[in-house]
Amino acid sequence: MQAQLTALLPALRRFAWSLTQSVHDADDLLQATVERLLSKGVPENVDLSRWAFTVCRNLWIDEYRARKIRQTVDVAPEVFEDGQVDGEREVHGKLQLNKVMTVMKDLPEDQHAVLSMVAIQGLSYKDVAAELEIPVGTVMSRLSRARCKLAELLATG
Amino acid sequence: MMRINDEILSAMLDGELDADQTLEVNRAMAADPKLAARFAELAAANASFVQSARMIDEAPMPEAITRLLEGQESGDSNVTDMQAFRQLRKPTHSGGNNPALRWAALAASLALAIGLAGGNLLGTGSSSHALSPAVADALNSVSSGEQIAIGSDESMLAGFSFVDAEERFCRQFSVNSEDGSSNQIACREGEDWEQIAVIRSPEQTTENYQPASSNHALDGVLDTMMVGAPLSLEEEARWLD
Repeated sequence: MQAQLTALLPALRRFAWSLTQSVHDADDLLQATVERLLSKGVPENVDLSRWAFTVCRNLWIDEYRARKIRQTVDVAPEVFEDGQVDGEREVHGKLQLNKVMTVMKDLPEDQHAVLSMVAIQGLSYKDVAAELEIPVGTVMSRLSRARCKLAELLATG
Repeated sequence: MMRINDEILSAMLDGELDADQTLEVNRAMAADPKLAARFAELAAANASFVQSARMIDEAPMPEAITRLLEGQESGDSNVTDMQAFRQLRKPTHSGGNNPALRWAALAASLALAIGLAGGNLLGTGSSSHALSPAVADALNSVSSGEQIAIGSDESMLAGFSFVDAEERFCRQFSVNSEDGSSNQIACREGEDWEQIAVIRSPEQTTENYQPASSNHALDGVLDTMMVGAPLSLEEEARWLD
């Protein structure tokens, strides 16, 4: 399982980031997820990948969101270290990132989770509906509202 | 007739509509530029969200996490493979200016992408799959979200635009004909357009468009190439000028 988990880490980390919108909280959440998986294992006949994302999301809901460790969004300057991006595009990238983070911070948790599950985890509407035990129509509606809010803010210069 | 609203456009983005619904939305967008522009806005918003999550790849993985796993799997060859793969997927690091490594990264991403999507790779910049002059002209003039006829039986729908690590203006788009559809990425080199990737989904049919943001087959390629968010329509217009 450790090898599979190692292969999953980058994708799981992006998912954690999409939920927390903070590098520090994302890495804390990722670490808690890995620790939980290593200590509790995976139920029989359950796909590790699917289970790992579920554990991550549940930890976020149960612990991180409830405790609201960080109330403010940070841009996480380490993301831009090492000169990977520079000049005008760095500014553009930071602005876009800030806008996305601003929207996500204020997004209701139910819309936030659905957007992350579809856009980052790559689940189908049917799978999201099954996992959250909600109708597919509700998945569509939450997803659409989340994207509309993002589009609205990104369109305002 | 289906009422086409943001929910339907969002579902279109995720490839969640059936073939008939997809055809209906494509026809509606072809007839209504405002609807096509709205679709482009939602696609760009989604791509920005996905891209923002990918930015965390640039921050080093905390040692505390890797130690948790390394302590229990020394000698496991899969770990080494994934670490090497992660390095390939970061063109802006040491391999950023190395064309061979850049293409190796692209090839690795494509191999992964095709494995995920079950699609057929038609080419990666090969001259045998060069862009037609009509498609190149369209890429120089059509805004994202717009669909344009490029012959008697072909049409092109522009997805979104971005600037790659080499400061090139690049575009994701689909070409639809009676023979099927293909999702493509091309970048402008001087006056010419270089074809970067072409992926055809066997189940796709004429006018059955799936943008790259929802088509996981191209996600790996975009992941390798994109260093920032997709361009807004205003930013794109400046490149088109």
